Amino acid sequence: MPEERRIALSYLGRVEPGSIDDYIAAGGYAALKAALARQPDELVAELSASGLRGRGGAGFPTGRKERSTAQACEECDCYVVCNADEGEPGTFKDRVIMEGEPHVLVEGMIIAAYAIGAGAGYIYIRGEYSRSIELVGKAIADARQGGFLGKNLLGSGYSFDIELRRGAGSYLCGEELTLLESLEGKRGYPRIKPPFPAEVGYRGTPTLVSNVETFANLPFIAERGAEAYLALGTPSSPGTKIFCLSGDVEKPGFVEVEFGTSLRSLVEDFAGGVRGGGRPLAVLLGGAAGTFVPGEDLDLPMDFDGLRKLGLTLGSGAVMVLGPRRSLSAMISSMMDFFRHESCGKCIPCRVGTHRLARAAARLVETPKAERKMLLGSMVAEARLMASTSLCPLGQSPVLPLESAFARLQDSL
Amino acid sequence: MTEAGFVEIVIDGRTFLAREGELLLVAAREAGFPIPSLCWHRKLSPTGACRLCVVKVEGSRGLVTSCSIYVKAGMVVTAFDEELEEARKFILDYLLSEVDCGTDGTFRDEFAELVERYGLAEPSARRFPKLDMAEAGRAVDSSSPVLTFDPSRCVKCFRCVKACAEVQGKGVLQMAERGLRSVILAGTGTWGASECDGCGECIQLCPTGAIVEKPHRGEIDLASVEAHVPTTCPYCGVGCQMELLVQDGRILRVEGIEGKSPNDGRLCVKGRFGSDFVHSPERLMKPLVREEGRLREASWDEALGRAAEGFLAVKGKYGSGALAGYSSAKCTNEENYLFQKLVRVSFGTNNVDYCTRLCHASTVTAMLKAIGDAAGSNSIEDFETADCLLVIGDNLIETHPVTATYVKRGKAAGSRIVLIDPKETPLARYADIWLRPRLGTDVALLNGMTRLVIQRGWIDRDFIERRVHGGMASFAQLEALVAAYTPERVLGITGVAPSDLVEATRLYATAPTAMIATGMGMSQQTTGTHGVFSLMNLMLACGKIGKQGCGIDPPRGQNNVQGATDVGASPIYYPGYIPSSDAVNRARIARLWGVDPGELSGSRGLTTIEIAKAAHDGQIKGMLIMGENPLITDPNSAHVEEALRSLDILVVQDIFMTATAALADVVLPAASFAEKEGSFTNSDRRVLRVRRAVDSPGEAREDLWILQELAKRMGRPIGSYAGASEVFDEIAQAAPILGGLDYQRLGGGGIQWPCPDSKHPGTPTLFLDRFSTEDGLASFNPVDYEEQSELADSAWPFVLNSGRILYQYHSATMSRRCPVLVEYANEAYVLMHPADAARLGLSDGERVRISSRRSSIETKLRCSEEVSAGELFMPFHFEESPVNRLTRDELDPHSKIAPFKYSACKVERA
Ligand SMILES: Cc1cc2nc3c(=O)[nH]c(=O)nc-3n(C[C@H](O)[C@H](O)[C@H](O)COP(=O)(O)O)c2cc1C
Ligand code: SF4
Ligand code: SF4
Ligand code: SF4
Ligand code: FES
Repeated sequence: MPEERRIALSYLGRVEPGSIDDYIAAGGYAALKAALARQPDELVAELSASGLRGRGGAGFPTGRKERSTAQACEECDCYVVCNADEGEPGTFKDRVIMEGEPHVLVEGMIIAAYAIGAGAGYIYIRGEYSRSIELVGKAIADARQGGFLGKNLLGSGYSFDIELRRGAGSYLCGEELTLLESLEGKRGYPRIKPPFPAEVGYRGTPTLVSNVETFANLPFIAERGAEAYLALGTPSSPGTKIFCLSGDVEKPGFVEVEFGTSLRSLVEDFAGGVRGGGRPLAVLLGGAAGTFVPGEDLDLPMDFDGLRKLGLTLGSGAVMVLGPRRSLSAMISSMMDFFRHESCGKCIPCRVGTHRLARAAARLVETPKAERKMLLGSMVAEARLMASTSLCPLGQSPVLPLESAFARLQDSL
Repeated sequence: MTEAGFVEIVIDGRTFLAREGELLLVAAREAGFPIPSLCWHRKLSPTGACRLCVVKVEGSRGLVTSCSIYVKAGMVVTAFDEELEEARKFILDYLLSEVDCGTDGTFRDEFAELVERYGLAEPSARRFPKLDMAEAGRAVDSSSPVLTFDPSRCVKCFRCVKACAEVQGKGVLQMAERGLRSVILAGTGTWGASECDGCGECIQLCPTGAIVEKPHRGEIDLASVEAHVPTTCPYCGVGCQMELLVQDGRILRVEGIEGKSPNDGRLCVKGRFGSDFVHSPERLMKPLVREEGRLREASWDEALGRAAEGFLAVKGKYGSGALAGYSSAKCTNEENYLFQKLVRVSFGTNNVDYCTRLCHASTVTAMLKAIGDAAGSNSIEDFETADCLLVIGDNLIETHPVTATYVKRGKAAGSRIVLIDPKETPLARYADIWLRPRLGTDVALLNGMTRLVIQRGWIDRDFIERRVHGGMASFAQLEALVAAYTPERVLGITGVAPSDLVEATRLYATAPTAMIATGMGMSQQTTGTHGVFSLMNLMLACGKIGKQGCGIDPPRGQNNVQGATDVGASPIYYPGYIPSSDAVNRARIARLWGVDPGELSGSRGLTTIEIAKAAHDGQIKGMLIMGENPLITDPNSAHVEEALRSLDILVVQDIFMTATAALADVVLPAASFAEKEGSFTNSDRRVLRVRRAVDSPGEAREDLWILQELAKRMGRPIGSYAGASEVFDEIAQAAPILGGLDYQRLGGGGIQWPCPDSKHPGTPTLFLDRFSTEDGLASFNPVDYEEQSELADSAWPFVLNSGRILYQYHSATMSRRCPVLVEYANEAYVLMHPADAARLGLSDGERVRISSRRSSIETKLRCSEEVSAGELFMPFHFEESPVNRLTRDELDPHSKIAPFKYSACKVERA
C-alpha cells in the first residue's frame, strides 16, 4: 500500500488552525523568509523548474503563468488572486486547507506575490464556506499583525496585502475569468479568452489566478527547492495531490498522495473499497466536468498527462465511486441537470444545449435499455458541437462525461 | 509590409493586406468574407455571445470568435469550410428552437436574414423542435412610451445592454436570470418605471424585433418607405445627424446616422421622437392678416403686400431706425443670412438680433474679448477624451444629451468630472466633485479657484508668457485681484467648503488635458460676462486652452445659435464676425450685395431686449420676427407683450400660431426643417446639411422665398436665388471663415470652420497657434465679485432659477406637438426644497402662486432636494406657467443678457 505524503497538507492536524504562533512554531513562514532572501526572478525560475501544475482542474503549469504575469506587469501593479470558490461537485480539498491550516495558503500567496511583484491579492472564497471565511480572515489579520503582510513586510522592502471576498454563489464564478468579473463587482459572466488573466486580469491588469491547493504547495518548493519537489510524483506531474474520495465507499474523505498513485489504491486502500462490497460500476474522476472510468479499469496511474492520453481527466481531484447498484443514466441525468442549472446563458450553444441535454438525459432514464445507446450517441454528437462553439469551459464540459460514458460504459447504461 | 500599419494575412488561401490591430471580423468582411454575426456591433465592446463569427486561426486551439481577435502579421485564417458552416448552422438552428424570428415589415430582423442564408427558413429544414419556453415566463413589455420589448424575439446578444451602457452611458438595462431564463430587464421591473429616458439607442442596435419602436408601428412598412433622407436634428446645438424615413409623404421614423460626426448614430429622445410636429394639424397653412382686430386667411400676395406696406410706412414716417427684426436660431444659415440682408438692405438698419442674446451673449462677449472667438474651441469628441471636464452652470445631460454621452463615456474610461452648479442636475451622480455655490456667486468662486491655482503653483507660466498679452506682468494684476478671495471668504459668499474648493481646483488644474463646458447658469445673469471672464482667467492661468484636448465649449441651446451669428444675424457683425461699424467692411459687403455703401447703416444696431425696450418706448414701430417666440422666451414678458402690441406693424413668420404670432398684423406660414434645404452650424462649428424630406402643408412656404418676396415688395430686393445652395455660395463669399465650403463638400459630412479655402480640411481645435484676437494673444480680464442687484429679502424670500428639461424644448411649440415627448413630460412645476415647503405648510403636488416684483403665475409644487433651501427652479417651456413673467429685464451691462437665473420671489398657496 502506497503511503500518504503530505506537502500541501503538511501542517494539517499539527497546528491549531486559528493560531499563527502554532504555525510559526511548527516551522511556518520560514519558507517566506527563504523566498524573500532571493531575487524575485530567481524565485520564478525555481517555481517553474519544480514543474508544479495548477490544482484547480486544468493542470496548467503554474510557473509558466507566473512568468508571463511577471513579464506582463513589469510596469504596472499586478495582482494575485486565489480561487477558493471550490464549486466542483465532489471536491472539498480547499476547505480542508482553509479550515485546517489557513496560514499555508496565506504564506503561499505571499511567496507567489513576491515572485511576480504583485502589490495586492484577493482570496475569493465560496460563500457557503463560512468557517473557511472566518479562519482565513483571521489568518490574514494575524499575518498582518505579525508583519508578514502589509507595508515593507518582514523588513524586506516589499509590500503586499490580501483582501478576502465572498463568492457570488455560482459554479461558473469558479472559472477564472468569470471570477475576475465577479471580483470587480460585475455580474458573473465569463470573459472572452484570450486574453488570459496573466495578460489582462483584475481591473485590466495582469493577474495570477491560482487554486488554494496550488498556493499551498509553494512554501515547500520555496524552502526545499525544485529538486526536492521533482523527486515526488511523476515526470509530467511532479509532487503530490489531494484527492477527494466520495460516493459509495467505506471511508469517504481526502488523502494527499504522490502523483502516479493508482486509482485502485485510492478506491481500495484509502477509501476502503465499495460500501457493502463488490466492484464499482464506475468511478467519476474530476466532478461534473469529469470523466467516467469503468469499475474494471482501476489500474490507472493518477497523473495529468497519463489520464489525458486515455481521454480521461484528473480535474480537481474528485474521485466519486458509483456502487454496483447505481444507475449510470440517473447519474448522467443529474449531471446534465447540474449544467443546465449552472449555464449562465450568455452564449447560444450552451444556453440551449445544456437545456436540451438535460431533457435528453431525463429521457435516458425512462427509455428502454436498447434505445439508450442511440440516444446517448446523439447526445454526444450534440455535446461535441456545443463544446466546439461555446464561449467558456462550462459549455465545453458536458461532452466529457458523455463521451467517456459512451466510449467505455455503453453496456452499463 | 507596404503601407504603414498594414500587414499581410491569409484568409481561405487568399493573401491580402489588413490593418494591424483591426478586428479580424471587420478585416475579413472588408476583404469580402461575409462572416455572419449577431452580437457584434461596431460601437460595442466584443461580447462573444452568439458564436456565429467563429473561424479557425493557425496556432490557436479550436474555433475562435473573429469578433474578439485582432489582425496580426502572418495570421492564417479559415473563415469558411464545411465544419465552420456546419457549426454556424447548428447555432442558428439551436437559436430557432428558442427564439421566434421573422419580421412584419416594421423592423429589420438580422436573425431572420441569417436563417434564410443558412437554408433554415423552412421549418422542415430545422433539426431541433421548439423548446417550451413557458417556464421562462416571458411577457411583452409595452410600458415605455417609445418602445415595445418582446422577449420571445430576444436572441440575448447583449447589444441593447451595451448600447445603453457603453454608447449612451446610462446603464438602464441588464440581463437578468441565467441559462434559458435569461431575460433583458430595464431597471428593476418594467421599462416604463425604469430610468430609461427614451433615447432609443437600444432600438437602433437591437438586431431582431425584440426591441421595436412603438410610435407609428401600425403605419410604417419598411418596404414602402420611399426615402431615407439624411439631415440634421432641429432641436439642440449638438447637430445630430439623422435619417428621416418617409412613407406616404410623412416622416414615420427617425434613425441616427452611424459613423458620422458629431453623434455617430446616437440621438436623444427629442431627436428620435420629436419630428411629429411637422405633420401637426395645427401647422400654419395659410397666410393670415389682421382685420378689425382679428386674424383672417389671406393670399400670399395680400399678406406680403400688407407686410411690405406696413414696413414702408414706418420707414417713411419714422426712418429706418424704427424697424427691427428678430432672426432665428431655429432657422438655417441661409435663412438667417437672407434675413439680416433684408434688415440691412430693405429695412436699412442694423437692428437685427435673435435669441442668442438670451442665452450666451455674455459668454460671447467675454470669449471674444479674452480669446477673440466665441465659438466652442474644441470638438465634441474632446468631452470624452479630456482627462478632466469642468462643467459649470450647464445641465448637460438634459440639455445636450448626446454631448453628455461623450462625457459619460469619458468618465467610464477614467476621466474626472468637476461640476459646479447650485442645482442638483443629473450629472451630479457622475461628478468626482460637485461644488454647490449659492446662485449668482460664480465670480467669487472662480476667483477663489484662481487664487488657489497661484498659491499651489499650478499655473502654466510658460503658457502665460507665450500666449497671454502682457505675459506675467498682466498676470500680476490678476494675482493682485484674486488675492482677496481666500477660501474663508469664498465660503462666506458661496457656501462652498474650502476642502472641496481645493479638490475641484486640483482636479482641473493638474489634469494633463482639461475641457470646460459653460452653460446658461453662468451666462444668464446680470454679472454673466464677469462670470465668464473669471472662468477664462482660471483657464488661462492653468494654460488649459490652445492645445489639443484643452479648451472651452459653451454648448448651444438651439440647433443653429452658432450659425445665425456666423452668417451675420447680429446688430454689430456682418457675416463672419466682421464689424459692421467699419467702413472698409461696409464697402466690401455693399459690393458683394450690389448696393451703394451709403445705403448700409454704419451705426450699431439694437440687441434683442433693447429692441423690445425701444418698442415699448415707441422708438421701434415695425418688426419682422422669423421663427421666434419672444413672448414666452424673453424676460419680463408682460413688458414684451406691451411692446409688441404698441407696434404699427408686426409680421411673424412661423410654423405654428405662437403666442407671439397671435399678436401679429401679418402671419406668414413657414416651412419646417423637414421641408427645406439648408444648413445648420452646431456647437462645435460644424456646418451640417439640412435636407428636404416632405412637402410643406397647405400653402406654407420656405423662409428663403418669403424673405426674397418681402424684400422685392419693399422695392429693395435682396437677390433672387435658385435655391439654398446659391445662398450658401454667397455666404461663403461674405464670410471668410466659411470661404472653402459649398454644398458639394458638405454633402460628405459636416466640416468645422474656419475653412477658408476649398482645400482646407476644416478646424477641429481652435487656437493651436494663435488666438483670434488682433495680436494673436489671449488676455486676462480680472473682475471682482458683485452682489446681485435684486436680492432675496423678507418680502421676497426665495431666489428663482429657471431652465430646461430633457423632454421639452424652448417654448415647446415643436416638442409639445410630439406625442412621445408629451407623454414623458407635459406639466409645468416649480421645485422647492422639502424643508422650505414644510415651513410654509405646503405639500407636494399642491397649486402655488409664485410672485416676483414684476408679476405672478400659478403652477404645481414639487418638493425636491435638487434645489437648495431658499432656491426654486422652474422649467420655462410651459405657456400656462410662463416663468418669464417673473424674470427681470435688467441687463448685464456688457452683453445685454438678462438674468433668467435669478429673480427674488415669494410663494403662497394658490
Ligand atoms: C466552470 C468552471 C468552474 C471552475 N471552478 C473552479 C473552482 O471552484 N476552483 C478552482 O480553483 N478552479 C476552478 N476552475 C478552474 C479555474 O478556471 C482556473 O483554471 C484555476 O483557478 C486556475 O488555478 P490553478 O492553475 O491553480 O489550477 C473552474 C473552471 C471552470 C470552467
Ligand atoms: S458556455 Fe455556458 S456558461 Fe459559458 S458563457 Fe456560454 S452559456 Fe455561459
Ligand atoms: S431607450 Fe435609451 S435609455 Fe432607454 S433603455 Fe434604450 S438605450 Fe437605455
Ligand atoms: S433585446 Fe435585442 S439587442 Fe437586446 S439582447 Fe435581445 S436581441 Fe439583443
Ligand atoms: S459576433 Fe462574435 S460571438 Fe457574436
